[in-house]
Amino acid sequence: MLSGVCAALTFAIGCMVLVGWAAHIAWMTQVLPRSVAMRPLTAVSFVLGAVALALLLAGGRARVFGRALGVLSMLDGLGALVEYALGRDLHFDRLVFGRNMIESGGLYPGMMSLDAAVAFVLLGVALLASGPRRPHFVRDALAAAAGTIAGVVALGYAYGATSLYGVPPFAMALPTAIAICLLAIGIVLEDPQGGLLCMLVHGSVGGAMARRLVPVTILLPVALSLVLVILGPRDLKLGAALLVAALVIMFTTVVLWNASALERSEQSLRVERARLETIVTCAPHGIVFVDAVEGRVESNPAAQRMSGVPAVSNRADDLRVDLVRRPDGTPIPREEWPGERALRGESVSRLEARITRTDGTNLPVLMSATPVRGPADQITGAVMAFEDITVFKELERLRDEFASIVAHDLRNPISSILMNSELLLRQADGQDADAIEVRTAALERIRRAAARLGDMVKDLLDASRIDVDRLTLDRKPLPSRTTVEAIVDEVRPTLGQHPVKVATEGEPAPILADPVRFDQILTNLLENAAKYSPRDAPIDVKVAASADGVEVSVKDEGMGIAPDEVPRLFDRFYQAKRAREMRAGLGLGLYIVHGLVAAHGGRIWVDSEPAHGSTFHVWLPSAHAAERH
Amino acid sequence: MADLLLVDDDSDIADTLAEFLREEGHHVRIAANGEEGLRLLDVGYPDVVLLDVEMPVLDGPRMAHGMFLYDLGRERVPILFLSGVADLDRIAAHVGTPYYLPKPFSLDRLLHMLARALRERAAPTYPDEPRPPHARR
Repeated sequence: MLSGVCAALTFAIGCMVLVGWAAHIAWMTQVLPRSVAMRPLTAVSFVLGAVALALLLAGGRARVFGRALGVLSMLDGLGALVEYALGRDLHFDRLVFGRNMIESGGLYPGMMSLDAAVAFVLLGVALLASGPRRPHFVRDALAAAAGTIAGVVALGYAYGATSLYGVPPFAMALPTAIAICLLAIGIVLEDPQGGLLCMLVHGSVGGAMARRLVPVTILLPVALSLVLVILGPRDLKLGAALLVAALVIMFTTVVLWNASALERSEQSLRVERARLETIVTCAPHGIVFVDAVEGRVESNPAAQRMSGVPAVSNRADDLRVDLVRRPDGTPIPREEWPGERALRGESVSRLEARITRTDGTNLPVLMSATPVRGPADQITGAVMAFEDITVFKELERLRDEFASIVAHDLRNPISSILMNSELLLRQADGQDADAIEVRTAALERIRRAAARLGDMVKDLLDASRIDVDRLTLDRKPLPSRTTVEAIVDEVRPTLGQHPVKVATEGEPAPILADPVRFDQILTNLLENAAKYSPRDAPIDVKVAASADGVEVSVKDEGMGIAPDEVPRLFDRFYQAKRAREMRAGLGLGLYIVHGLVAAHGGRIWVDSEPAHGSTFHVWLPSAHAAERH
Repeated sequence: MADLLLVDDDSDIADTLAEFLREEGHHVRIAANGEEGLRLLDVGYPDVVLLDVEMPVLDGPRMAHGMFLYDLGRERVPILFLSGVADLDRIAAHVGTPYYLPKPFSLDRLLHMLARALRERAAPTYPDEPRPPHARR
């Protein structure tokens, strides 16, 4: 924006001078009476330089043209340097504009002054060095050098110190000095993202400081010395002008240097802050900051998720009384509340607590709190962190449940073995028929108890393998109907009085299954059917062809399963009411069956109606379909 | 020689205990659950009820509670709890009987506890409404 204004003013000065030469108006070419005029070629160079800067500001492809014009604007200055090197005037102006125009417009200076030529070349190179991804210090240094040269000349004019701008005709004209200064400022301000003077437009601390101090460092010495010059003796002019120039350059440099240092430190602070904010925002832990001074509470997204409190709240109590309680649900007294303790200077580490959300659900958490201290070590607030320990609590509950179930169910067979062994020892010597009968019965009970223990251990092992997906299957194609029939025949003797029928529907394809595991699945379902239906009630097994697989179903005429128990039937350790009453085992049977079926890529489901029996369906992929996938 | 009522749904354990106690000269009746136990009580009150905790139909504590209904005199029969549940001491305290043996136990300890029950004949104190069945969570 400011850069554009500088370009426009430079453009206007260039145009004004050209108009002055064309229309023979001396003041337009030299501004001050009796001083040297700006050469027409110099004016053209300024117009080119201004347009170059405008194109650079436009960005994109225009930048290429901007740089090209920058080179053109430099040519006049280079030409002058060549003239000085050769020691003769090559009359470039006359070549371009003709003698007539030049001799009538103002006090024609002839060759460009040496300082102006140098400044022009510096500006041209600065224009070339502009643009993003180029080091700004090159551009800034070149433009600052050109601006300093022209600024000293301008000061010379202001103080009437002729030695600072040279003696006509080889002097820099006042409009030239002003235009060079403007162009230099415009170039330095060209890219708002970088560079020294760009800080002036930044909202940072450094920018604010520079904006306040730079005008003062420039205007104050100028104003003071103007007073000196006006009131003081004549020969003070040069000294005052030089002193002002030196002071302005020195102070401005110091101010800008400090401002840029400030800006750098602020920027690194900002980067640090952004990093911290990201950490706090992404953290899975709920983090809450309590501001003791303002009474404000700020929470990160995880804390909002956990507790339902708003991100920023003005009521510290929001978090205190209702929300966080002891694990047993009793409120935490105000003085023991971790946030309160942290505000007193204590650190609280991983205190177990319970968050009761606004919707009434509870969340077990570990709560930590640490005081936040200010520069004088005073406590300004507290940071609290909440860890969600739902998963650990659930694992703990499962572990306890597992331990109590296993301990309880193992005790009965162990009791049986112990008592019968004792009985055997007491009856060891008896030779009569009674004693022999007692011993035989005791041995049989020991065998049964040991077998029960063995089954339980096997079930536990299977269940834990299913838990961790470590089931290994040795799958091979099995003819479905004959395999089912063979298993039924094998299990039939253990099913008591239940008549078992096997029916076939359609042409069931061979299944791809582990024979041992398939036997386990079907045996478990058959034993369940026998266990939960009245004596003599029939059990119907059906093998049916199904799309891409085979469906094996086991139907009993037992008491059925209540609808609310069906969804949990395949859960670990879950036992339906009837099974609990019958103390039928660990509650792992259907969990294992479900896991085995799933490992085969199959499905299991149950149709049941209380008092009308249950039908368990197992669908397994056919060998054909399984090979395709 | 005492008259005993043994209530346990594990038939192997019930048979073993019955056999052993009969060898020791006691008269033993067996019930497979609390309901059956209450029915057998009506036939004749034993000297001691040996009672399991977890059973189908009617569990041990509920049967104990049932013994207190109607003031028939059943409430004066001492109860000896035999069970593998984890908090058997709490259940015995709840029913108010000082006699309980956690499974597994040795037959000697059973004889010892039974002798004590027969000697003291401490009837359970009146139990409150039993807690919900000791079902698995």
